[in-house]
Amino acid sequence: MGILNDVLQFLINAVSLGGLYALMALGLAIVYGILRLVNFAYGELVMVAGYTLLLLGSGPLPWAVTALAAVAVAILTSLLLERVAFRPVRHASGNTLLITSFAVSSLLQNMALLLVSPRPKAVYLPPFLSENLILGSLVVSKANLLSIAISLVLMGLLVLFLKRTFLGIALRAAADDFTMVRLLGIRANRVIATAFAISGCLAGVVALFWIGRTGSVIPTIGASPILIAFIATVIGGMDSLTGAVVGGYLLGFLTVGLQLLLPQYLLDFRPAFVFGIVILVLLFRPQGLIRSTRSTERI
Amino acid sequence: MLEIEGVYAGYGSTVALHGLSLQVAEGELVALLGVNGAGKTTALNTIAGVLKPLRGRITFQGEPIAGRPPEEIVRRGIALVPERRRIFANLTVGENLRLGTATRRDRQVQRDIAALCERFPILGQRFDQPGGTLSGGEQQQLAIARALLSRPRLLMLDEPSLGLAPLLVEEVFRMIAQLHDEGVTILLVEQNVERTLAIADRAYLLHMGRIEFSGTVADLRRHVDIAAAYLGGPLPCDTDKRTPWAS
Repeated sequence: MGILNDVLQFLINAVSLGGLYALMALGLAIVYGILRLVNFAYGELVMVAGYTLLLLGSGPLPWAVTALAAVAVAILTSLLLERVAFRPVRHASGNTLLITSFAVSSLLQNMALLLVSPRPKAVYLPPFLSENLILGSLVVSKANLLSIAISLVLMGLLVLFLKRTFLGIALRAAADDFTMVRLLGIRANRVIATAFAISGCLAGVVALFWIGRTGSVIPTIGASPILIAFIATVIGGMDSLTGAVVGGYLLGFLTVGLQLLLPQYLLDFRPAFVFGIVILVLLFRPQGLIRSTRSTERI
Repeated sequence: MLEIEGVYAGYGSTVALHGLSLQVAEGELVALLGVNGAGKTTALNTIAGVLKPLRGRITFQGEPIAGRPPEEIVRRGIALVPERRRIFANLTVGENLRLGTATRRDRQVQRDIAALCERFPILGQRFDQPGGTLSGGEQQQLAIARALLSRPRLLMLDEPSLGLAPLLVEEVFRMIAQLHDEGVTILLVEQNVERTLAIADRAYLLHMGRIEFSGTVADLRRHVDIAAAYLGGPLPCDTDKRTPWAS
């Protein structure tokens, strides 16, 4: 009974954290897929969603509305960044895009420093997020169950969108051969804006659960999500959305697993162990776990 | 229908077209011939909007289109089937075709897809399979079908027979001739000169980014030693341009 309980507890925690990591990675990978841009301002989308929660959380709005507003702000910010920062340099080299994303990231962080505060601000969270569900001898946090459910639902919706809608199919095609997509008359701006909107939506949802775990928001809150997302996409295989999901879950399982397995005095060094394992994975599979399926020539 | 005048274009600092001029009239099948590197693909890419011309005029149905983005040029009725077909390998045949209807707003789309699957039966049979699993010839059929779904007024084909088995080459040329018979205006770039001349109305011979010869197929045969032109040397169609060692 004890062992079974531990295993279940582990699975719930790992799937919950892994789902969150997978969403982070997907948001980064979907933009990378079509623009070849690792958007380092992605973490700041989590931040703006966080400050929206802070701003509206103390007001009279029901929390669900506040949460939706936070996601909406992340989407709008992502679209705005695409329009004013990335679109003008889209035809420049990949390095220019990358540096632009660093600049945008730094700009947004400093705006938060100036306009809000460099110190962590406590965010109002509805009580149920810190409640536990007790099933026999199993104690499960409702926040974890909710994050498992929401990450699965979002991934399901994303798959539906990519498989069933015209724009979704165009997005997959654009990751393969963008010029050909344009030659068919599909507007590049629409496809790219869609990718940024999805990325912003995922960042917004991630922000809800990320802040749900820490309870506060600071200007540098985006640093961890972007790092996790980046590592997850690299181990999963940079070109593949499936890879991003696999990488995210793997990182989640590693983190929770090491939390259980490491002796107390090494727990502080958990990230070092996680990244050590990541390095090992990359040594054996430098292309990532899921091989890219970019179109190969066939004659 | 399509008029190009004095177009210069290239990639980065390499200029591949040096003042290209050509015309395509409605209903014509015009061939654009020349050795590798003569600028044929550059010409098609510039017309389609993939490349912006450095100089020169391109008008389609009386309106200037030079420098417009490709998504706008397709909407005006020019479709390009690019070199090596560029099928979306990870998308199914059906999804590839669906993307071909991007410019359409009418309700005929489903009927058109069904009609194309009847015309190219392999596409119907493989409708739900990834485009990457098709053979070269089947991919060519898919690429052409995908382009036709935009209902182009002008269809540009870039080396459609490249890399195909001889039997399939035959098939592709039959398909092009048939489209021409149905009234589709076609600008065809090909390496397979004999087969191309057999179906074309007129031809241009491109050499080092310039038109060296233009005329009807009969003119071309009369004035140009095609084999020599394709060996890439100086063109023997004009005695004044002969190199010293040739005289």
